[in-house]
Amino acid sequence: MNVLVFNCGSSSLKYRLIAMPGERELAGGEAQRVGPPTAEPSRIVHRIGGREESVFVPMPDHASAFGEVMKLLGMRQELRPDAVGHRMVHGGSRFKAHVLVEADTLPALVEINELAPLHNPPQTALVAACRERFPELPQVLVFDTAYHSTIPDYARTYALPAKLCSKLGLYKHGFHGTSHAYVASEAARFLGRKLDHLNAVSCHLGSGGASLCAIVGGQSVDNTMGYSPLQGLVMSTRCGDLDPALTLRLLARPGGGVKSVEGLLNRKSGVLGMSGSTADIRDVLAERARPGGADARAETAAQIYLWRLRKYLGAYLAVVGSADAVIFTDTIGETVPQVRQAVCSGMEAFGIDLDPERNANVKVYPADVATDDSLVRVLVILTNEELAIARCVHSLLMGSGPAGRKEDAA
Amino acid sequence: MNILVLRPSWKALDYALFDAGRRRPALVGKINERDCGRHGAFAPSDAFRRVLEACRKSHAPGAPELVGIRLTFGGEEFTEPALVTNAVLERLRGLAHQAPLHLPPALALIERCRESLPEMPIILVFETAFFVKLPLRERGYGMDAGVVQELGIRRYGYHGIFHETACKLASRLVGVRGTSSCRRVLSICLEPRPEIAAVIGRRPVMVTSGATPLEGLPGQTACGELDPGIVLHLARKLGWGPEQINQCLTGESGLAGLTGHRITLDGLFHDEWGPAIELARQVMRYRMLLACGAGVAAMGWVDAIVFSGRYFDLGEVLGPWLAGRLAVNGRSEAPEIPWTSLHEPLDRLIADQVAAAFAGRAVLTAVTE
Repeated sequence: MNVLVFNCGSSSLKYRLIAMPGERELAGGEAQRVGPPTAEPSRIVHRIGGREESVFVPMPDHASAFGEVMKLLGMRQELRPDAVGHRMVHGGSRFKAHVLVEADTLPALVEINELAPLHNPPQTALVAACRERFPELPQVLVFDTAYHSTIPDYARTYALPAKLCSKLGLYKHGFHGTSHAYVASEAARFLGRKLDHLNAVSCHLGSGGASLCAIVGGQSVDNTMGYSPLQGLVMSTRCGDLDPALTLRLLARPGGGVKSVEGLLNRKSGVLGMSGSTADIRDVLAERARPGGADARAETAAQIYLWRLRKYLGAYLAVVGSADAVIFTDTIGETVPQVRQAVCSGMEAFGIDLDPERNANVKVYPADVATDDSLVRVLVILTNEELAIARCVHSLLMGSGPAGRKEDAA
Repeated sequence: MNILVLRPSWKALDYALFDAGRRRPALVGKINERDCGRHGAFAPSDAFRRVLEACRKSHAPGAPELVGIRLTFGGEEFTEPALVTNAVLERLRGLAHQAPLHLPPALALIERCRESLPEMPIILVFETAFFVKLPLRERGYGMDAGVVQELGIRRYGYHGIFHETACKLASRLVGVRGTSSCRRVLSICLEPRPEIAAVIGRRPVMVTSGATPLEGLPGQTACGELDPGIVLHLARKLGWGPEQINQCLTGESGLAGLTGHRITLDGLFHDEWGPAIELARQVMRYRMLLACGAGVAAMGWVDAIVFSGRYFDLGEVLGPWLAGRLAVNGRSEAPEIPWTSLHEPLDRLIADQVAAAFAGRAVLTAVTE
């Protein structure tokens, strides 16, 4: 079965065609600069048979990007998909597991678009375009929030008036679930144990968004993101946790409309807001490592970013109890040893003993960068959301249920 | 020396009179708007006259010789108790915009106190003082630096007097269950707005509150930590303004919001039962566990847990539970973390700080007596 996976960002469209169950990539790529024209032209970087080519083509929206991607794939018979898998960021309260798209699915998706205004609307549009063009192809939606449906009530409930929460659906949804589920199953496989016996803290540290997930028995029991992807860690341009009174102060300021505060907290805060020069923590850490060190703003950004991460790691290790592993993944988690070092050093109270040499010299993934004596393994695992989605699609269509939930990784 | 302790807030003035040499107050009480015959416009300065009357009418052996006033906020200006002078008042006025609900009425009280008792020394103690030197990494938010500077934003703790004394008490645990050091302490203050601090030696390195006491653990009516996206959603979806949202988050949330009725922290764990109560109890306990885990990560270890505040005796319920969960990563061979409770009420701790400051000595605490 060839599964075509779409991972739709706000201005990009990643795709991979994967032959299942062998998990072999047949083709893949990324449509970049989708949307209104920018300083550089829109293009598709297309990968096939070990070769990569760039195709420059206007893509004013995700539906047109989808059409162009299908043109590239459609030239060869063996690249025809048998099913499509879509990454959806937010499933709200309606979608608590992966689903096959049916007639009533699209209206339900439109209803929850506002929960993730940057991500869900283009993803919904893509599903609609795909259904129109290939009505015969089964489409499966894989929600980032679905993995977190096992978070217990006491961890997903905010201390707000219960009626208000129930009326507006104000509960913790959690995000990055597809990635957390994938690396948890990879960790279980690496450690040679069953997924439902795995206790871990997964650190998905992307160059944009980032979250930690507490995992007990292979299931998510907490995630640092909340009702929205704004809560939790300090991110590239998002503030993470904030005193609610501060959000109110910002709203009460002259010119402090909801839209402007939302823009400030989502796009002008985090590493970018603190450093004033870059949204990428790697730049900040590089500046810090130079002789003379970072300027005051960059130093503040580095300290607050790393400290918040460390505190949440401690919080989740306390929740998990006897952790088998701490997992680092996604761009920052996989490639920046300084972050792992800063967060894991001095954590003997939790049974973590990082090996600085192993940590600095990761060449093969998954890697275990803890000392041999460490009670808790520290793993660096490459995330692969597209493959995780393909697994979900395959297992759902083959009748074995949502892959991320029942998979036995022994 | 007889010490009159005053604790002004925007809705009441608490007072206690301590005779020299006695731990228990000779007189204790509270004046609120009803007592002043006014509704909706309580001013602690008006209430002060009634406190003086109460002192005169009481059978306390001596009149006040020293006044101690507890302020919840002293900004970065006040790192220790301060004797009231014109210069100190000026510095306080300069901070008023940072705590607009609290400082202006407190300033009015101090001025009334000076008018009524012109010869009386007045000493201010500050709840935030203990937290002024929080490390940079713990002080800040992931926010735009310009906005941070414009609004003067930084994080504090707001139960510094309890935490400071509780951490000294922890030294008593040396020797308990093989404990050889009590430098790294989780201090859990169980007040209507509970607060957890991680303290190494005498320096806090983590605290659950933030720019205001609203952040952190849920309180009896306050929401505690909240996704900023929810605040924005309330404004957008319901059209609520900042004041309406503030009323909801500070007055109708927390345990009251979760259970549907007013309930104390003590009642939550001791008295009441039912599904909503059970959920609230679990939420509160879980949030405490998260904060304690963060505190252990902040300190790199934990030697002891100390409970304080008016509901300190909840330590009997929470102490064994937290200590067990925090034992080195849940390994059964790890020693259980020792815990204890500070039984002294806030007024007594304030009186001690005031007396010590007035005597010009290092602050002595209840636990050393």
